[in-house]
Amino acid sequence: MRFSSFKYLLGQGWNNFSGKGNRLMSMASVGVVTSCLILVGICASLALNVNSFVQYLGAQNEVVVYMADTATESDIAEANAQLTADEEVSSFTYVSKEQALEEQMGYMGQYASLLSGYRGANNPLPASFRIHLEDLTKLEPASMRFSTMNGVDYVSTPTELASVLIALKNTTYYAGLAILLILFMVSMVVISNTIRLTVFARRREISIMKYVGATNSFIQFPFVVEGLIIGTVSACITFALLSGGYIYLYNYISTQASGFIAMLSMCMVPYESMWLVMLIGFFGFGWFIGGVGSALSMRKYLKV
Amino acid sequence: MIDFKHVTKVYEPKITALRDVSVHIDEGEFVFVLGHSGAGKSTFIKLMLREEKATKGEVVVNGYNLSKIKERDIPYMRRTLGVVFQDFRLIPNLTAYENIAFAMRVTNIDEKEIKRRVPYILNLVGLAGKANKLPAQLSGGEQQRVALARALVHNPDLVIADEPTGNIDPQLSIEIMELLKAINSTGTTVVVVTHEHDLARRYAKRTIEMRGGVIVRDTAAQAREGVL
Repeated sequence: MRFSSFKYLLGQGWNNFSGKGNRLMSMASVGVVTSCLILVGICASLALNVNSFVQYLGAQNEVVVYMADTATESDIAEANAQLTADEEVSSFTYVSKEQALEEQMGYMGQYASLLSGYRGANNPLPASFRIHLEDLTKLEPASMRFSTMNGVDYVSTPTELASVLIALKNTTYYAGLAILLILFMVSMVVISNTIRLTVFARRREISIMKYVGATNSFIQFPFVVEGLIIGTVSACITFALLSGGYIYLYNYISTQASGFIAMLSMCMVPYESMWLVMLIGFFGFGWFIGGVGSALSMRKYLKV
Repeated sequence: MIDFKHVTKVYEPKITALRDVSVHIDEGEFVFVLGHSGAGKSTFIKLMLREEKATKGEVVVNGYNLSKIKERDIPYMRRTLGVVFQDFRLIPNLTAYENIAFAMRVTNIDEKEIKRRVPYILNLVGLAGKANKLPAQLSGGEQQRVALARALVHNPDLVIADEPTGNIDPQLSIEIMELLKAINSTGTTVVVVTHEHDLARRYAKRTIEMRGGVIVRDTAAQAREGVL
C-alpha cells in the first residue's frame, strides 16, 4: 500500500471516530468499553492477588515427614537425596531428634528444664524433614511419594487447608474467566454496533468504492482503525483509572499495622509487578475487540 | 469485450431473470441494451459487474471469466470498466473534483497521479470550471458528467451506462450521449442500458432488445442474417 493511501485511510478512520455526527456514538462506545475494561481489570487484579495470597498461605504450611527411630543414617541420607532431586519440592530442612527436642524446649521457655531428662537415648521426638512444595495441588501425590521413602514412620499433610486454598484459587480463576468472557462478548457487541452505524451511514460510499474496484481490505481499513481508536482510548482511560486506584489501595493496605489487612499487605502484588500486565492486557483486549468487532460488522456490506 | 454464453440467472425462490442468453459484444462497439422494466436489463448489468453470479452458463468481461473469478480478483476486474448510474451515485459532501479523486484514492493511486489526471478528466467532460462545486450545486446533466468522469478515471476498456439519461432533461441527454460517443470513438466499448426506444433509434447503433429475460432482437445478428 502506498504511504499516501495509508495516510488517507488513517484519516478516514479518525474521521469515522471523531467526525461530526459520529462523535456521540464513539463516546458512548468508549464509555461502555471502558466500563467493561475496568471490570475486567478489577477481576484480573483480584485473581492475581488471590493467587498471590494462596501462594503465601501455602508457603506457610509444610509437609512433615517423620522418620522412624529405626531409620539408619543411610536412610536419612537417601531421603535427603530424594528430596533434593524432587522437582515438586521448593525447599526442605532436616530436623534431627536433638534439634526437635531443643525446639520443643525453646517453646516451653522457663519450663524447658522439664524436658531435660529426655536428652540422649530417652528422646521420644522423631527426626523429621519439613518440606515446602512448589504447588499445593500436588500435595497428596507428593505425600504418597514421601511415605514410600525408606525409614519413614508417617507423613503429616495439611490436606484440609490445602483443599480450601485450592478451592479458593480455582473459584477465583473460573469465576474470573467467566466474567472475562461475558465482558468480552459485551464489548464486542457494543463496538460492532457502533461500527455498524458508521458503516450504515456510509453504505453509499462503500458501494461506490466496490464499483470502482476498491479491495475489501481497503474498504475495511478505516473501520478497523475506528475500532482500534475506540479500543485505544478505552484502554488509556482504564489504565489511568485502575493504576491510580491500585496504587491508592496498595499504599492504604501497606500502612495498616495489624489484623487481616496487615497480612494482606504481605502478599498483595505490588504495582511495579502489575503495571506491565495491566498495560498489555488492556491494550491487547481493547485492540482485539476493536479490530475484530469492526471487521465482523463490515462483512455484510462487502458482498457487492 | 463481453461474452455471454447460454447464461441463465435464477433468483431464489425460482424467479428466472435471464434465460439462456448468448451475446457477444466486441471491443470498441457502441451497444444499446433495450428493454422495459423486468426485461432482465439490471440482471444483465449485475452479471457484467459480477455483483451476481450466473446460475448457468459463462460470462466473460474484459478477459475475466466471471463464472470462475476468485473473490479477491473482482476489484481488479472492476478497474477495467467504468459504470454510470441513473441516480449518479455521487458522494454529496465531496466536490466534483473530490468525487473523482475518491475513485482513484480508494484504488490505491498515488496523489501525484490524482492531481494530474482529475483536472484532465474534468476538462474532458466539460466541467473544468466546476471542480469545486458540490453535487447539489450542479445540474442533473453536470452531475451525470461527474459520474461519467469518475467512470473514466481508470481509463477503462468498457463503460457501462445504466439509464444515463433517465434523470436529466432531453437537451442534456443529447450532451451525455455525445460524450459517450466521443468516449467510444477513442476505442472504449460503451454499453448503454435503457428503456428509451427513441434514444436507441436516434443513434442507430447496435441494439440488443430484451423481454422477459431473453434477447428478442439483436440488430447485429439481424444484419449478419441479412434482415436489415
